[in-house]
Amino acid sequence: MIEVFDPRGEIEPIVVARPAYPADLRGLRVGAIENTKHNAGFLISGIIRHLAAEHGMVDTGVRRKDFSSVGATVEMLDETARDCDLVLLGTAD
Amino acid sequence: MSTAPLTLDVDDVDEVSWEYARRGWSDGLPIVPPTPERVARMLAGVTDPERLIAVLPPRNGRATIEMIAVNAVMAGCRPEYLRVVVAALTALGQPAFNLRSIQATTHPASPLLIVNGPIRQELGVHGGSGCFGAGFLANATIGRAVRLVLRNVGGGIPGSGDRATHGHPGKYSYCIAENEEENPWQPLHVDRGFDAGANTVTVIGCEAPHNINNHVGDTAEHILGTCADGMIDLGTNNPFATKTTQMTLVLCPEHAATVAGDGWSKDDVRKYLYERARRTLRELKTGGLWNMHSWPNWYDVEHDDARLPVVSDPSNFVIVVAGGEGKHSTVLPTTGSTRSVTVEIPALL
Repeated sequence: MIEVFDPRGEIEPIVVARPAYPADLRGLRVGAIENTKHNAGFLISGIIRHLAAEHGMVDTGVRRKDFSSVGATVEMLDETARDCDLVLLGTAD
Repeated sequence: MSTAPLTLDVDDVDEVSWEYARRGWSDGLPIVPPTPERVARMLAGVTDPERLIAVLPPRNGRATIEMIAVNAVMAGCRPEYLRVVVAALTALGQPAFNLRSIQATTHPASPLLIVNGPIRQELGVHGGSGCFGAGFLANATIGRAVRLVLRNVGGGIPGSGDRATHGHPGKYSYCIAENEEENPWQPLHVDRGFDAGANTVTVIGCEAPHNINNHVGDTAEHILGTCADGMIDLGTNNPFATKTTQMTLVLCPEHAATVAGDGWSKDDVRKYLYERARRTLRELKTGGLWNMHSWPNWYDVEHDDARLPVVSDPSNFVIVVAGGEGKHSTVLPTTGSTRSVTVEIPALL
């Protein structure tokens, strides 16, 4: 028998407020922050087109980060929050 | 310790290593069991063991000094190494380093630690022959402790929080000292605004060393020309991520002596590399990150013969002198999304 410590430690909790789901998507604004990865961009663009065509959402376009593994700028986040009700993010390839 | 130890029903030290590996708490090498006695010895003299040093992604683990100490014990650190490990994690927690990208990327990057100042000799952090390799207690265990914290506290576990396709051997340990004694210029930490007598650690998120062999060059231009050529590999991220990153060159003492012997300052080196380490737009269009690039707005992207530099301005070349005898320097490409950070190593924790 031996006493030892767990090397992982505690997790800092992250609290994210989730808005209420809308009853109807029609007229809501959809946009995206694309991360420069081709397949993610392809998928996101397709989803936006589908949401606009089939669910009446307003397509506000795709914004592009500087590079896949850097965060979006504050300016881009602020603009996206102002102009969109729903934002799609691309992370994988 | 603020947390209670757990009891393992094992008979000997070997089984502790195997049990930690089974639980995913080690790098696969044998560990020193982090018993309450050993951790207390590691923390001797620390005034606030519960102090938070960084919150480490992607797990968002709280890297307190005591949790860092647990991992430092496992890595085999001597207690006097702890302040270097803590300083390195302080640097890794700075936003400019972008640790989340280094931890989670598919790219083979890991934080390299470069130690400067008198503490190098005090602790035996090696910056001479074979410094990137095995055989040096301080290098091996300080670097390993940081890696274990990133794994255990930060959740950088291969295939899970760490999505690296291959990774690289520096994910066991990646720590050197600068060879200040054979550096013909001022050392790295003085470049960064610290006093020459200060003790610092610099973290750089980079690939494994890429060798630059130049046995025939006897001029600055010849040697740095081969170094520049090693920086523009079309399979690396740097030529495509110019807007957001840096490029590190570790010159061996013999190459550094030749370059300085021609009267070149470090700024001269940077300016030369800035002009020489370039690819034409035509060549870049054949590269592995074409159309995923991040370039400054002033880049000429209309003319295929335009020669685009590998960093956005000369100051983004990080110049270090390390290694021993021989004529091999090394280039350290990055993920493209990280910037090096230097912090002072505290005298006391």
